[in-house]
Amino acid sequence: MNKKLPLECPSCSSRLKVKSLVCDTCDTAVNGMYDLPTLTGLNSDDQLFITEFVKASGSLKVMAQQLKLSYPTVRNLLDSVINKLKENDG
Amino acid sequence: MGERESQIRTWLFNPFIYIAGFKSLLIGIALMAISAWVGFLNNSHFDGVLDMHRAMAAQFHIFLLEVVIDWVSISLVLFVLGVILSKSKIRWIDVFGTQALARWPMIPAVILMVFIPDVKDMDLSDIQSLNGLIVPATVMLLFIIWFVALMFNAYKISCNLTGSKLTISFIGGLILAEILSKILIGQIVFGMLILPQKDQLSVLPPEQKGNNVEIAKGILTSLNEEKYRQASIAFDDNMKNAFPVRKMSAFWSGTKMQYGEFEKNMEPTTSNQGEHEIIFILCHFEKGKLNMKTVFNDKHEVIGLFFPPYKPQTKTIEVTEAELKIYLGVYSSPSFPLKVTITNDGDKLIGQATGQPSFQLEYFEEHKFKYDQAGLKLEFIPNENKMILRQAGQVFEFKREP
Repeated sequence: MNKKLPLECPSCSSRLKVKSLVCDTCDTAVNGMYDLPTLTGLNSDDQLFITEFVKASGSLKVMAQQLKLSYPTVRNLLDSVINKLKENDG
Repeated sequence: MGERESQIRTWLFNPFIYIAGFKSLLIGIALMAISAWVGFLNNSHFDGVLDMHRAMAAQFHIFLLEVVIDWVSISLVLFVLGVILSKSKIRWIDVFGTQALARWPMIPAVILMVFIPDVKDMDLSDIQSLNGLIVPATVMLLFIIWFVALMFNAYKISCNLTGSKLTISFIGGLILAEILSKILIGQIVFGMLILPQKDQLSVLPPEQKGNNVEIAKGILTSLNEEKYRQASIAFDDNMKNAFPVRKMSAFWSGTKMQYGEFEKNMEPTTSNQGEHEIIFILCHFEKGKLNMKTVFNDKHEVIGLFFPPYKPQTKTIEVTEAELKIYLGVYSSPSFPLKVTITNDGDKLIGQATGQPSFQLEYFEEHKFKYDQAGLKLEFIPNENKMILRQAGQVFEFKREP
């Protein structure tokens, strides 16, 4: 089962933080208060897009060829991701 | 199945997801050239971003120029709007390329123009005739909606705009581009069709000046070569206003549609009416004959140009006394025992062999007359002073006595 990482509080809709991290080899638990990484604020499709974009050395043309989409379509996808990241930061 | 349908819909209405930039520019330009070619074949002009009208025949480059002006107008306006409104770094090649590809519904639309009857020729009280207009007009409307949807999606993708900013700027841009294209076509294309160019205003070659026959022949040649400005050089001002280039073009296309291609013309004949000289040139077309009638004033300007159908059966009435004068005289032949005297009685041509009763000749073709009761045919060659008599399979050549 592919579990989805919850980002918002189901009760008050505030952004969730990480309180506990566990080593699944030796069962060591670390407690604290950590922010979630910025990229986790994106949905899985957007995260995949960013990963592929980095792999393509940041070339929209290469991305367009790989995804079989036109250049402006890929640029629009990237702009949309940038906007989401800016909103999450804000 | 659902995914396939959705893919077809995307390719029909928003192919720009997959194609943009240089690739769509090349494909779009090729498709625009095809639409211009079809327009050239059925005289459908692209006289505005969203306009298409049947009008005068013109050369292919005129139709191509109209298509290019339409495309550049909409692309330029939307590109400027995109630069102002979009937060993305937009590329001109995407805007121009996608807008070029968006014009491809013009091809089926311009083909459909053949099936849309001219409202001027229709009896609007006739329901069947109206039905003939409604069906293709409805299909045309669907093509226009499709075309606008493509332009909208091309703008949306190439300029990365959404929401009301996208919709309002597109509508405004479309109206602006329509006005711009109308102005440009009016200034550039219409000017090319109507306005005489300086080099063509330099009237006729000196040897043709004052020679009405040569001018009339020149007009016919120019019409046949579709050089309408050239054809109207010798027109007086009233004629230039009454019969401008676009009317001449429409007239000549209509004539060819009705009578087929021009094949040949006979030698001109002339007649005078007061200070006016009239030149007749019998023109043979594939499907019939027209008798080109050019009327000149005393300044060798054309004041009238007519192409009545040639009607041999009524021609005897139309032949004027003046036209008959070139045939009159006494003709003799060494192989024929009698002399033949040709006279006229008003606009009737009369023949009489020595000692025989006179007979009235009936005009049936250029320089040719007949007398059916005797199975006689006479052909005159006025400039050689000759007459050929044909009767019962025999041919006699006569010479006019001095």
